Amino acid sequence: MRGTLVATGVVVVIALGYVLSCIIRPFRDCWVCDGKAHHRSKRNPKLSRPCRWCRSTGKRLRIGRRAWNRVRRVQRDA
Amino acid sequence: MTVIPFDEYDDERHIIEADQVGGQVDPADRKATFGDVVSRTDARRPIVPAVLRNPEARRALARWAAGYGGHTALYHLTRSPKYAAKVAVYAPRGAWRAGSAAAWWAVGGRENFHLRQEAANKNDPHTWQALNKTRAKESNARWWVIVAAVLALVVLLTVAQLVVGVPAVGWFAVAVGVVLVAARNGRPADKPIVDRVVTKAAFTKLTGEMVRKAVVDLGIGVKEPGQISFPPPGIHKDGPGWLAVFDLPGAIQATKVLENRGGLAGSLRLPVDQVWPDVVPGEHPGRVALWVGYQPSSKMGQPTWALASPTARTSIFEPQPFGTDARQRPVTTILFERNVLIGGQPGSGKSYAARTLTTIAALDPTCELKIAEFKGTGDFLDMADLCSTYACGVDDEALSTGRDILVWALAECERRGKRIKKARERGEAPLGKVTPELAAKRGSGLHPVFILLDEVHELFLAYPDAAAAAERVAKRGRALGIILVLATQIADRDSVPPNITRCVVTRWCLSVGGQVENDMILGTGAYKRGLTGTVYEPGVDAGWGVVIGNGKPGSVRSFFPKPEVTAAIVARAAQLRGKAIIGEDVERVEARDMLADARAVLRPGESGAPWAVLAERLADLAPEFYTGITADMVREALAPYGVESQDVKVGRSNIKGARRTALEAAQQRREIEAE
Repeated sequence: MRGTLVATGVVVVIALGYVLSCIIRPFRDCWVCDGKAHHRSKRNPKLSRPCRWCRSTGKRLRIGRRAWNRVRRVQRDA
Repeated sequence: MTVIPFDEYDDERHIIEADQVGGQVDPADRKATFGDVVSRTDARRPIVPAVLRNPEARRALARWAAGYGGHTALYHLTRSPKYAAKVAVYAPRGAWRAGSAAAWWAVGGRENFHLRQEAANKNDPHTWQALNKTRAKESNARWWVIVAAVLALVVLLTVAQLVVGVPAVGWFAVAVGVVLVAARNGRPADKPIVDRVVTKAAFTKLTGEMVRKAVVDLGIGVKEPGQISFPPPGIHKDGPGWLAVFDLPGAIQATKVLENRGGLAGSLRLPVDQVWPDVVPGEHPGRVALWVGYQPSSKMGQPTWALASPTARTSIFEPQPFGTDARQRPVTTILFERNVLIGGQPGSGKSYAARTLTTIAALDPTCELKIAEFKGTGDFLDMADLCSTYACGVDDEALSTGRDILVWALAECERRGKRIKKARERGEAPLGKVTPELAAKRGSGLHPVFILLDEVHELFLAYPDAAAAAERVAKRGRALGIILVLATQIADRDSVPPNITRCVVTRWCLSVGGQVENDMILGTGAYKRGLTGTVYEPGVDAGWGVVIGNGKPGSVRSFFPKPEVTAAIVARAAQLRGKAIIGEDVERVEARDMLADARAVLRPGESGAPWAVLAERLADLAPEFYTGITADMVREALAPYGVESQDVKVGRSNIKGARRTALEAAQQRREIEAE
């Protein structure tokens, strides 16, 4: 019982923290290029190509924020 | 000067002085000299406010302050648990609000929060980063401020505790203060913690726009609001209300506004007895003084009557308050040398108006009271013990007593005239009038006499000769200390002869029905001048009336003390008089038939007698009744019987008088009529 309660509390706190971070820090480093915005060739370090995932910004929206934006867009367009 | 050339010998020569054209008309400005400055006598405003100079007002102010303060304290005390509960709810909220506001400011949230959110919505990391950089730069310094403030607070508290040594009570007070401030910060804007103590009487300020609109609405010829101008000082507070003095345009007179007081009140959206238009005496007839009270006068109450004080003592030679004007200021009168006519329709408050004057006389212990009321309801019954003569009712006895009072007063005038003459010879009455010293002197026989005849038309209808007597008393008694007050419903030709109204200087017209009645009481033209009692409603405005002949004409409301105050006043009067009655009761004189007496005094063989001779003989025949009768009075008294004034031969000359034939004919006519 108590374990469940603590677990629920932890989950709630984590969820709230995630929501907050979606608001005040909506961007995170790109997971494909690790925030570097470019992919470097392993063989020739001078060669590089832009990260296509993040369109060479090195940032990506948090999943929560992305989902939230989608919901809002759908709502607005409806 | 231009001289037209002329021939020296020309008779028609003339000189034309040319008008000076141009130049300054106004006197030249001049700098004030030292002498001008030091000789200035501008009215200085008193240092101590008027309310503090008057002991009555001081007491009233203290009473009000104590009552108001006590009520407020008690009110809040009873509600303190409720306040505590509210504070308990609002204080945490306020603390949270304050803390989050500080944090929000420190992180620089306010500056571009929405722009950053917009960038996130559009998945625009570049913009977001740029915006965040700006925020971070500002935020850095702000955190330093927060840290410094917190440090300063901690240092302050530590110093207070360790160095100064604030007691526990101090910390408690600080905590309470902090909690209260937090609660104030946490309460919703529309929900004060403390409840409202008083409900203020709703009164909108009187503005020029309101006045202009109201006058235009009256439809008296003012077309545009801008046509009405307000001379300085404009609309201002005056007593418990606003005073707006304004000028009507063109030839529109103030009376037009006064005639339609109801319309004015309606347009101002106020009860009628809150709106008091008035003419401004001494100004042009288009100027109106509109006084609008904070409250309707019926709800305003009346200030305390100075005569209701337990130590009141009056003198009829000094100004005494008998009523208040619309602005709650007492209105005073000097009863000496004054005759008063009070008129008004039933329910207008006549009897009480008369009573205020009687009270002034009653509280002067040297003044004799004679009261006759012909309403029969005993309005002055409680004062009967103070009166040397008191009559009440409409029966023969009361009416004849009323006439006896007037006959006595006439005879008294005769006696007093002689006493004044002697006093004047002694140098005690330099103006041929009763003086306060003479009046107060015991045994001088010149003490003031106050005669009140209520509903006097009853008396004059029953005894027409009483009217003539009243007229003569009014004329002669003034300087002799005899004060006559007549109250009547109707002052028309039949009930109160115009001669009486003309002799009475002071008239008090309470609520009347129309212009005719108004002018009967106040004199012809009063209505047109705006002095009118038609504006008052009987009952609602009871006691209100227009007084003329007592200083500035204007509205006066008689004092109307509560019954217990009235009883106290009468008791005070009795105490002042030492339970003794001033003066003596009148002799009950048998009414005499003048026609029969006139016939009786004609000697056998006389074909008639001149009026003067008749008067002399009548006075010899019945001195108690005919004392002081004159030739004219005999003529007037016999005229109703149809006895004409004819030539009577005395010796060789003809003198106007009554002929025996005329007297006999009148007697026969009367006998025929009696059948």
